Amino acid sequence: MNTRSPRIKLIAFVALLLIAAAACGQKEGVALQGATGGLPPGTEIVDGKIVDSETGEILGDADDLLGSSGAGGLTGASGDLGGSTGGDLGGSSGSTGSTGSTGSTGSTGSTGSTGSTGSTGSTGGSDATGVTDNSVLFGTHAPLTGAAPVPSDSAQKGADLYYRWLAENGKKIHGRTVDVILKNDNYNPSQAVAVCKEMVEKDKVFALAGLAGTDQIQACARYAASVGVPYTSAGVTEIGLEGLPNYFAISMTYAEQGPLLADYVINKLGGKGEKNGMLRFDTPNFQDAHDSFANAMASKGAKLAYDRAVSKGAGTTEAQSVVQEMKTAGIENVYVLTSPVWWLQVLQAAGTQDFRPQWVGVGISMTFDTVATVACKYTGAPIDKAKFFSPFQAWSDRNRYSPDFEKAVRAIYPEENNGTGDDFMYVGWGAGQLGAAFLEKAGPNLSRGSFAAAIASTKNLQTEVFPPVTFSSSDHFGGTAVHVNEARCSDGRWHTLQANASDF
Amino acid sequence: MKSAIVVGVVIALVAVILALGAGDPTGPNAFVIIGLSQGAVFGLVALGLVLVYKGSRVFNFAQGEFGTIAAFLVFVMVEQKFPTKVPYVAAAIIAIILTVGVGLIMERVVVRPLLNSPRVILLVATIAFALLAIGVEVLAFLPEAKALPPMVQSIFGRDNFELFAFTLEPQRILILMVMGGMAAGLAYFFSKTDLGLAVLAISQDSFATRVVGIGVERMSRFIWGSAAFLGAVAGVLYVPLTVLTPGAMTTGVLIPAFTGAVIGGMTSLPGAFVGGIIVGLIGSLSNWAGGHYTIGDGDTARLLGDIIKGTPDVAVVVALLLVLLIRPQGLLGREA
Repeated sequence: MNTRSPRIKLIAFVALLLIAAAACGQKEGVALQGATGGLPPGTEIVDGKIVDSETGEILGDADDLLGSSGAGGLTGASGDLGGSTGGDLGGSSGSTGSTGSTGSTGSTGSTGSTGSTGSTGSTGGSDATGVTDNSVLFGTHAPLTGAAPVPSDSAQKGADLYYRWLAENGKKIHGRTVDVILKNDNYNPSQAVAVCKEMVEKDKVFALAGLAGTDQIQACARYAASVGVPYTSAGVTEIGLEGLPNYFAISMTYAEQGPLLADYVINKLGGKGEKNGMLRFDTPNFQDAHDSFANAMASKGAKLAYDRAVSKGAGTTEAQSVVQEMKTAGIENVYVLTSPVWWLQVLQAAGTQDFRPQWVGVGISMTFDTVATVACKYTGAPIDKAKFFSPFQAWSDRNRYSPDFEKAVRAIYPEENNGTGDDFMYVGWGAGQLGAAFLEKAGPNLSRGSFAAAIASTKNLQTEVFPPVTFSSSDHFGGTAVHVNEARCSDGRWHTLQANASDF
Repeated sequence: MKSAIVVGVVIALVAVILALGAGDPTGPNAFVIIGLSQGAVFGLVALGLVLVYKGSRVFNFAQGEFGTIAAFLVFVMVEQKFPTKVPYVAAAIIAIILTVGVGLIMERVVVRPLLNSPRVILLVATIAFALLAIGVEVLAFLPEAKALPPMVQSIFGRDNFELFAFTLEPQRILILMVMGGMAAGLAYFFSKTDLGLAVLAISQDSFATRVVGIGVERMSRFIWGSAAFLGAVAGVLYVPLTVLTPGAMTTGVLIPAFTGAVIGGMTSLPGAFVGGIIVGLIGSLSNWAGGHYTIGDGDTARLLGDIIKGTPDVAVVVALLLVLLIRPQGLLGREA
């Protein structure tokens, strides 16, 4: 026993070392930069092929770069398109990957170097689940119930409106039509993951998209990363989404909008000499939005005079309390980052207390007309002239920016609001335009990898509803501008003051 | 006597806070008024909870939905003008009557078949009823926020009342008056009338009550109808002060009302009144403290509310735990 003990200890020690070594190899950050994110610099995807942006030379198939097994990248012409060691990790279907193979068409490149910072999950590479010769299936989730609900009927019809309009006009994307399913996440991250899982595993969708709700989008995007499914949403937080190889924000994130909003408050609203405040939900996912705005204001000599975080479960008591605090403090401009329903409660209290600051903000669901319509009924209509950044123009200005929208509604859903649709449908229409552009770019040999790579290589894509987007292999937050919408109680709707604004 | 002492202590504490905050615009006085007015709503719903508990020894999770249903009925008549535009007060009365009908249907279909079942089964049945009601509201009205205008635009000839820099709108004054009147009326009813005593008897021994000739079914009907009435009154009065969504009274009011009922004593109607007020006050004052006091100096100073997340919820839970530890039957409750 005594003689065996040291040997056992030695074996155990070696085993521990091996486990530790293996664990190091599996750590996020050790592996190759994630599959999709690894599009070589100076290249882009055209019709499913990787081409040199300057020369137009075809360097290989997107799928070669984005292999489902996390294979190394191309060894490119310039030699730095290198393969890698390790693969994408962290996701349940992310695989270890091998040392980067030599590129398919590269000429002078060397075998890939050891990988740089890894990312979570993979894009699924050549996985073409949800794709047939004549159709593609997308899955979307939205809070159809909960604290920031969107009407399910409008959201569903809006989600597939653009694709149906294309089909109506005999247009297909590389011979395929697009179908979209929509599921309710109940404004709840765990339910968002559950419905996304269901869409991936049961409905076999090709890619996922989130319509609204920061926490839900973040939760579902991370799940999508773990199973290699491309995921797009309007820009929300960057926390937990940065570095995901297959996540793409199709508008500016809250953190990106912070400095822009600070410029707007100071230069357009005269906020420098005034008392400015921020009111937000106390969720970690709003921290980056808070910090970017607060720091930008401070750097411009307009430090926040009121800075309050309230629980996501806040109710009427909290709404009255914060209004009382802001009124007492004499706050003149308030950046509000909460759920629309709670903001409505704040506006209710503000109307009663005759507190009428300049409300500003960013977000997706705040600028739906429902919010303005309800709030305009309150005493003194305290929402009047509120100004919010939005990824979509106001529905009331739809004909100015996207005239085909109403034609499409009249043709496909004539019963919807007398053939004019609503803002939920308008957002879906805009997202559809982007989705179609990405599918077009991904080429006929559609796979999750080629789709994600196509998005990653998109530069300055301007569609009618969303502001222009530009992505790169290292930056998946593609928004470059915002629309400025204003609430007007003369008709209880939002109106677009300025479209595609990128500085103030 | 005990009620008078508890009420006296609460009033004294409020008076001390008001005295300490006098003259300070950033002080707690306006938040005392917020707490009182909000607590009145919690108390109104808590009255219905206690009534059902006294009569059937069950927590009624559908109590909030009686209020939401009534509010939606008012919305249909006043805002959607269906089937025709009805004057607000008339719409409110019709909505309350219809909601009492819903309460009676619930009693007949859900409660009575389970009268002799374990209480936990009845409790789960009330949860199921609440979820059903919310589901129907979602189907009928979509999960969109809606607003109801105030029922009264002025009271005592005034459009609003300024108290410690807080504007009390007429609707809130109305709630305070209705709640006070109902608490007093129900206290009298349960202590001085035969019907009230019969309800209490049912709650203690339904078999013995039946033996002496009191119809248990009739009493059950009365209790649930009354609970629906109280919930409907709360909903019709309160929703104009907030946002109307499916399940609004369940998600926004039911839990604080439950807490108030437990703090006050689940067997005491005055206790429900006092408990609701206490919960409203604690929530509002802790909110004020969270945004008023900082910990640390200079750039490292952080608001108390940023350190203790959800300050009002934490404060209410602490108060509830203290009451349950020191006086499990609640401030005004009696040992079962």
